Amino acid sequence: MERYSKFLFEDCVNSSFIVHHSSFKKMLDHHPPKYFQRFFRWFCHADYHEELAGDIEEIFYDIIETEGLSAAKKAYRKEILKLFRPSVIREIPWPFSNQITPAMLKNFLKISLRHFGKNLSFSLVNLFGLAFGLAAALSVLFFIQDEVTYEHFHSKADRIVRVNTVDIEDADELKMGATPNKAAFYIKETFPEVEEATRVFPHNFGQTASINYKTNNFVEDRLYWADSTIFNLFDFQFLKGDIHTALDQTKTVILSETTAKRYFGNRNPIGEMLKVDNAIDVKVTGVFKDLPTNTHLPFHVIGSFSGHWFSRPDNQTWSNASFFSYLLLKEGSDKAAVEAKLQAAIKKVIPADNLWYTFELQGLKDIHLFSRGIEDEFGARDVSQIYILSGLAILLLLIACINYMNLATAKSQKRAKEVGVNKTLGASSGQMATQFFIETGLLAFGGVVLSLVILYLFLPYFNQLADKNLSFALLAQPKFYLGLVGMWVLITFLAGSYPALYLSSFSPMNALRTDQANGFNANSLRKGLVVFQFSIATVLIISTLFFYLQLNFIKNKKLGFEPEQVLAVRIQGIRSNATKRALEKELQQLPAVLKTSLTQTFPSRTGSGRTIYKINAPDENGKNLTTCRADPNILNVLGVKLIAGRPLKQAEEQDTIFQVILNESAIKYLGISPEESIGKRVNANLGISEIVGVCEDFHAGSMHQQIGNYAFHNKPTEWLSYLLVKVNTNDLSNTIQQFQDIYTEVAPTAAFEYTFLDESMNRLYAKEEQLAKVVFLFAGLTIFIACLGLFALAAYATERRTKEIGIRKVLGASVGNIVGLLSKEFLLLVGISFLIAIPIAWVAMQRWLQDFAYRVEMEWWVFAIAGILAIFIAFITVSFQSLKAALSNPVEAIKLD
Amino acid sequence: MKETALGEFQEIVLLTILILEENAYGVSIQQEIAKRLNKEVSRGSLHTALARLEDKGFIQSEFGEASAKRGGRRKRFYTVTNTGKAALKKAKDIRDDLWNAIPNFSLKIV
Repeated sequence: MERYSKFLFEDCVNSSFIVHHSSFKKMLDHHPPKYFQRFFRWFCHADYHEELAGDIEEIFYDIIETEGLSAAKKAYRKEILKLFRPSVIREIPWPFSNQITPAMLKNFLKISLRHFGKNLSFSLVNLFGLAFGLAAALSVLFFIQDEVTYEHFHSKADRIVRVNTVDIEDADELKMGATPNKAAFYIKETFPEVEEATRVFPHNFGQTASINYKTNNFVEDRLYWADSTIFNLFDFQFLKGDIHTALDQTKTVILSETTAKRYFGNRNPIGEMLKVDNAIDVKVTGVFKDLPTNTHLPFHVIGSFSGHWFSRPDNQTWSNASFFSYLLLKEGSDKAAVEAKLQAAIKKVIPADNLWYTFELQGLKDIHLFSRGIEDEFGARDVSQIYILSGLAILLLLIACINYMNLATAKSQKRAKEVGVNKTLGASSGQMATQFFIETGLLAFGGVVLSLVILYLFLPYFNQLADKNLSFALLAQPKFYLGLVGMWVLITFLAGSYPALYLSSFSPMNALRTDQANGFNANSLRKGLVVFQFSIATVLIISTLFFYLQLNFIKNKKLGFEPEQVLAVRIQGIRSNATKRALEKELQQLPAVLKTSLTQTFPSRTGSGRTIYKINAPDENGKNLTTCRADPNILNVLGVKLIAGRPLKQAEEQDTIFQVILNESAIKYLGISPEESIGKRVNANLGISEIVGVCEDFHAGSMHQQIGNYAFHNKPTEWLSYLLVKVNTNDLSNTIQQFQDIYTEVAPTAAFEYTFLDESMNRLYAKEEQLAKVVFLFAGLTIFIACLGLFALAAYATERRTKEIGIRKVLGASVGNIVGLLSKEFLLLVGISFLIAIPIAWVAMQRWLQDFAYRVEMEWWVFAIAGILAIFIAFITVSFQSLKAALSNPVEAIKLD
Repeated sequence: MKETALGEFQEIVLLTILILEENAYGVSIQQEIAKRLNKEVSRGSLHTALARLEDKGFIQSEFGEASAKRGGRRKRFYTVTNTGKAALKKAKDIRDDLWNAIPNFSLKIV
């Protein structure tokens, strides 16, 4: 009674206050977290509810005013959780009324433990199966946790967006993460919804920088130039220097803590001068705390945007989409609305000849996982990988649960008597089900504990595999131990329901009869589950095989050039072409050096994007052309075959006509034969240029794409950033040391950095290799767990037929007969699962291979090998048991009873 | 027999209620303790202390006015009973005796 009147009172007061006190009205737009509020009402003792709910709500609104909504919500949740204590919780009625008493629970516990002891091998199989499944699931959970929290440490992450450039003339709507220089601040000044903007420019379009401090040179691959407004968007914690002024001056830089240590050791870096790429002097004005690793902008060094070529007024253009623009939207403004307005507005602003693109806005938190089809420098992961991984983890866990169900029901005949006796003595089905749930719960608990041990042992390997830096300490977070408890409960119910409900449903009359006719038919279910397990395992085996075949295919495919033994030395730190050529000359003196060439870029790296037009049809839309500025010797060093014409010549200063060598694809597009093309003028955005040669097609990019139109040219529009050296690899380490010595002599203030072309080509498939390794690991685990189950099932089946085997042997059956008899059934199941696996694997692999322009055929023998492998593994597993039975003395088997 | 001893936290709560005079309810007690002791106290642990104190008869409570900020719910105001005051006094006396019994007392920590 009292309670009802209280609620009525509450309601009245509530509404009247909202009407009369308009000052509260705005505040009351916010509400405490609804589910916590409900949860509290549910568990709180009625006598205390009004007081406590009122108090914490008052605190909630107090905190909103001082610290904001999210802090208030956080505090509210914390208070509620801390109120979940005996003195507050209402009395909970014992749900089983007087059916299950504490004494009975104690007895159940004892019987469960006795069962474990009695069936030790079964229990261990279950325990380890569960533990491995769980450990795999947990590591994936760690991984996903890391992946989905990208950028979350930036407190304004929800309001930050990146501006992407969308090429509307390209058929596939090619997207780029970068924008023209002008975009960021044009948007900020034009749209009131945008509070702040900053540009981020990866050093020299994403090249590594060479940084010099006094006599030391460092290679820096995370140097970005950014506007000083960057601090208004992203969170930085300054250890030294002033965050408000650090990048205000031109030619200043700030360093991350680790980077500062790397450059300066323990000295104070503030005020020191660094030299970037041997050209730009910059002063250190701040040191910030290292950013967490889960960000797409892992700044090591940030330099002020102003004072460089890209900040000069003549470079503030609407072309050259190389600058990353980030916007901070005002609280409450709608991203989609701003985007629509922006798309309408820029049509009037962008000069007509640049109207090939439009902009879209992408939320900061979406960048890491949802950037499929967006080109940027950051190597994002696609969300599909997360799905694949979670799918695998769930499957593995499911397989472990199935093991448990299988083994528990397999033992059912033995337990049937126990159920029968209990029920005769008055036990209800519910009580028996409780007993079986307790058993499962205990075992699952053991599995959870063991999985933590396994995880602890294997986390370093997992980190290596996943290229992460996950730490076991993550477990200390409440959401993880809540997750663990959740998994425990889930497994208990998933694995325990069927055995519990099935076993407890035995009628005592049937259960106590000694003959076989027990009338239960768990057999077909058990078979179904084995088929399910092995289907998954076989799909994974087939996938692994195809991954390796495809990766092998890629590595062995003729590239059209020879990347072996070719070193690319980065020479961006050297400014003048004369010095570059001097370095080249010096290297050529070494006996190990076979051929050299200066070049802008090399296969596996992108070149410049230009357009090629048909020779006699200038009005027609052109085609995309990748170009590379290079010295005459380039084809020689790369081993690309010239089909017609001659090599490039060294361009001279007075040259007004430049030379190009096109590949076959480009010539095919032009529609003329290689021989015809020599000497023709071609329009490829290279001024006046003449085709001097035609080379064979070669793979300048990855096998994901078809070979496109490619051109080498000698127009000095791009830097010569690399020196390619074909070397004799007999004494490689010595040769490289010699290189370094010469390099340091010629360019004392630039860092020496090189890569091998073949390694660089292989890195294009790093993502696929990683996936292959992960799937391989999961395939192994799946088979292992499935075999554990099969092993135990076979043991059980054999045990049940001990007498039959004995009699058969007495009557003259051979060992082979008996092994065949016992294995037949299981092999049939594995065979069926193979048939089920084929179409699934076929479709999955078809889709995966579609990503490659060059791929292996789906050969039937791959499936056959996988099938034979699965059957073989299953046979080995089963035959352990059947051989043992077949070899045992029949007298032992028959004398019992 | 009811436990009548006074725990340390309970003593603090009692004293705080006395400090706040007419205005001692959940939030104000919590904030006062946080302010004076410079440590966060959850509403849950405060509740446990208040419930115990009320069980022992050291405090009394009654409902006061409601406000919109509290979702229209009433505050529960606490006052210290005479038994409570006596318990406090007793606790203080015991301490004082102990303090006085220390020979050569010096607050200098060595």
